[in-house]
Amino acid sequence: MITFTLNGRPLSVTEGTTVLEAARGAGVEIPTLCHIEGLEGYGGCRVCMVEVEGSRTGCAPACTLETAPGMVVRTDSEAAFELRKAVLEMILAEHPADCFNCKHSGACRLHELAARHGLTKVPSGIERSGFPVDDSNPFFTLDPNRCILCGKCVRTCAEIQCSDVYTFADRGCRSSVAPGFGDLLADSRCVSCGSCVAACPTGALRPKDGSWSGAMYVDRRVRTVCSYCGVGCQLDLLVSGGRVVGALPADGPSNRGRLCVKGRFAHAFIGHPDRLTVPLVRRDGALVEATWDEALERVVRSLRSTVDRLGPDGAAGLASARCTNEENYLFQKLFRAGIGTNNVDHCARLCHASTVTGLAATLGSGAMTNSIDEIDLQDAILVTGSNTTETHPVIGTRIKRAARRGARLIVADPRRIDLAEEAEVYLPLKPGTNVALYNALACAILEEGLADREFIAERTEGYEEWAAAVRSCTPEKAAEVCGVDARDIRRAARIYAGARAAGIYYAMGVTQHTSGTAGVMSLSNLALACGKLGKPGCGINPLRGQNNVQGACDVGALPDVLPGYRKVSDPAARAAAAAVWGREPPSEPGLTVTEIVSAAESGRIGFLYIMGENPLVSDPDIGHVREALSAVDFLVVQDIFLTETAALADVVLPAACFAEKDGTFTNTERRVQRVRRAVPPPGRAREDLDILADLLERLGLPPADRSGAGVFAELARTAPQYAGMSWDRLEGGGLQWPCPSPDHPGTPILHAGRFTRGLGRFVPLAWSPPAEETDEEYPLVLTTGRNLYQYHTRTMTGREEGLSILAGEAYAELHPQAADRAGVRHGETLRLSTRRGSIELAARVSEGIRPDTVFVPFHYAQAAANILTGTALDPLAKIPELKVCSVRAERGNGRAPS
Amino acid sequence: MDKTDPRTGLQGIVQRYAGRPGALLGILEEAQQADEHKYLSEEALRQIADMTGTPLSRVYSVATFYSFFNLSPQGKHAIVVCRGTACHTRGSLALLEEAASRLGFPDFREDEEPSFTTGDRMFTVRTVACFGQCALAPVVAVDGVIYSHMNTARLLSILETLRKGVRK
Repeated sequence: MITFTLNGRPLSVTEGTTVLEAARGAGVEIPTLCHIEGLEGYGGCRVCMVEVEGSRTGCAPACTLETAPGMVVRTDSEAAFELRKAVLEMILAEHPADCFNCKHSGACRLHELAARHGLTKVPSGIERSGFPVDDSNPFFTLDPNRCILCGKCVRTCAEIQCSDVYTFADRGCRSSVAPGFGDLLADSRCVSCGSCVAACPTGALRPKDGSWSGAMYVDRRVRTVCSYCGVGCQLDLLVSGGRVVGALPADGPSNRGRLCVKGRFAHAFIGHPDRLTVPLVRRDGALVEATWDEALERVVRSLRSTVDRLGPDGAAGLASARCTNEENYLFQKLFRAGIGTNNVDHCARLCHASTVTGLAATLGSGAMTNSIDEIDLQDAILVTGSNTTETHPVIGTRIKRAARRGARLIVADPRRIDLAEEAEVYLPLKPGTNVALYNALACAILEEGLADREFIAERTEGYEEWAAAVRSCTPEKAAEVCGVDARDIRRAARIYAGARAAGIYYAMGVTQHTSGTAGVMSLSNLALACGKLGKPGCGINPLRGQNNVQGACDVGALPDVLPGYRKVSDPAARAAAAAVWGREPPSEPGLTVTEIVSAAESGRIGFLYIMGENPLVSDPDIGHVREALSAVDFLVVQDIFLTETAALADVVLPAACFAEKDGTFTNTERRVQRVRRAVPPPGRAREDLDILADLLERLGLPPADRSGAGVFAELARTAPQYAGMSWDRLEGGGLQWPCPSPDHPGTPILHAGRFTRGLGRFVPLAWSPPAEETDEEYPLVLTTGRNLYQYHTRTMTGREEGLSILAGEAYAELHPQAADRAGVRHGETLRLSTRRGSIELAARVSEGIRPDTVFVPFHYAQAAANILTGTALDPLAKIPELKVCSVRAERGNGRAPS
Repeated sequence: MDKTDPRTGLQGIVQRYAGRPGALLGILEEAQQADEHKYLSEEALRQIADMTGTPLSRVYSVATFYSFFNLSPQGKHAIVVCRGTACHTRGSLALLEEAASRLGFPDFREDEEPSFTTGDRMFTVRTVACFGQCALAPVVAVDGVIYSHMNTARLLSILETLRKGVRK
């Protein structure tokens, strides 16, 4: 500890603390224009000058000055004030003369500091002018004329976001911040995350959404959780005149001040004119407006007649990974207790069913084992089947940053994704060969004696049997199956096994296969063999896709488990539920999403209730889905827009979006966080919770407490992992489950000391090829996925003009060799056909993909990838094989849809 | 530059600096020396970024920060007019203006452009803040050699001699 004196008060801080950090810690504000929390002091703007008694110069910048024993510092003296004022005056001298009546001054830190130091006009000097304004980015403007060259954007982009877009171009009075070479932001590698805009202290980088110029008119800032993916970034919604006018990143535990382009800028959907504002019912074939009473009565009537005709199992529901825990809890309660069926599932079936099944079997818990923050501790990271930069952008950034700080990164993916550029070993494996690769990694580890014998002996079972099986899976054999170099497999094995703290990160590239569960389990085997579990930074981390897909699973929106993953087949679990619900749920597991679709097609489902999902774009083999939905007698869709699916419904219930409701989301690291209402739902739309509580009441099963906090309390009584949580306790940064009691701090790391199931289980698994293999007619492998700029079926992002500019059209990515054989060039129309259908879309020719593989993002309804995909299922988890099917590529006839 | 030449090609230069801290400056310097027109083309900078794994923005930043690096093709002969205080009071502005107007750039403004190069790539004329040779003011450097007590007539005759290809 070091003791020094700040403004006459003694202060003790740890060695290495700067004066700025010490002062901020003690609640003494020192103004700065260039400092970035968490990065090294920069000393660029000189505004943080403080007086240092007895020093050679008499003063120093607080951000770079380390505290020393006996140092005497004053921030509040006349001299310090005058010094700061003089520095500000010099900065202002280069600033445009209109600074003090600039329309953006309410949001400008320079203006604020100038005013606080008694400066009221721009001193005549050398005004920076004549720099061209870069307006090319759809979301923000770069105006170098208002730049004070503090470097915050340059450092934020390089050191926090790791995109390296900006630089100080040129020198002297010609220097400016730009991508260089005269390039516009639109032509640069900028991903529009807006971190630079949030960092900029002036109007040099300003958002176009009006939140900046109108910042002084922002009525309220509402801290909530982003609804775009499972990372669970915290953000502040800016509300003005009853509308959300923008968003700013907050220092949440998972995002630490970062957001991606969607969370930061894509909020036009909230108050969009296309929103559903009144209930709709089908009358004479058309959807017409109705009252809530009429719509809900019709739902209840149809439900009753279906149950009379087909029994309770004639009804089925698709819950929503977009909605809150409270809503999903009530939804499954509606089906289990209100109707008496376990036919409730949701889109987790299509993304991580194999994770839930696989990890539950090997470790006892199908969730991310570690916290996102632990990326900062790791010295080795294996990313496989996850294009993290585009699908979980903030986690992608954090992995990139770890790689740059020295963590050794291994990437295994058929596409040369952004993270591959940062990787020490990149394994471009053929889609559908994951299990072969993971077994080979394990084989190499055993061969070289790198396994953690102690961990295996103390904490696992089934090792011998597994080891015997995996020893024959040599890297050389896998090299042939996967199409990668055996030496690279061995290098990767050594890096992973030899690390002190190594984490595995994976997503749908692993799970969406007929061998999905096998893929998950073989990754789990790998982690068990190396003892990389249950310790800080060591774990296996499925990255969950949607904002609350983790929560929807946790609260029981799955056909085989009640809230808290308690098996419906377990009499004790059913009795516990009955004690809270007043009615016991059935003991037979219900149907999964894919089975519900098939059952509907064959007439076994008479009533289908879909909350916040759009299976007509998101599910495999759409042609089949359309037939199934049409075959259902009564279809209820509860959504915020009239989606492709809602257009087929008999009743459409207008719901609230994330900005219009109070509740909780559980992010991919099992962190339950509070979602807060910023604006009311449009028109007569209602919160999903309110709609569901109403329906339960109409079915004679009213929840004891209809408020969000009340429903959460009921959830906490049924899901053991949530038992110690309450809305009050979540007010801070949220809590990670399991949190069994009100005094429990939550669990950042699973399986520490003991696995949820007791011992970690090794499961021997042999690689088997995907359901559909390439042949002469369909010679290429089609793999589907997502991109950074769109979300799911675009019902939200499709309403954001800027995103449409950046990525508004469907495309297929293919290798130049494949493009040559198909006879198309970059930008031309490509026709893709599988055994199920054909689509036409623009060809994007890239060397970043294997020559035998074609990639299509599934977002775009106008060329829906899921027309092509097959419905072959993983036998254990029933997840469809969305990542592999055989496809033919040829020149398109028509124009690519635009 | 012959890009296939293992000694002067970019690949060779980058390889020679591989793994050395602060290599970028050296690579840029050699790449410029190896270039026929003594400059770093956009293409060369992009390739260097690619080969070294350095962000393009950082390469551009370094290349534009040091006045030593040229981002446009240079003339065969470099004429550097000192614009320090001593040289200024002894008439260096007139020297600059005379050179500019004789070489076809009568509108050249030193506060707008750092230099100009004649269309035939024979001369590049630029200014420098001070050579530190104030006692000899005004001074002009021609291909690295400093000429003292320069006057217009002498400067023009040097230009003429250089144009004829006869080095003094």
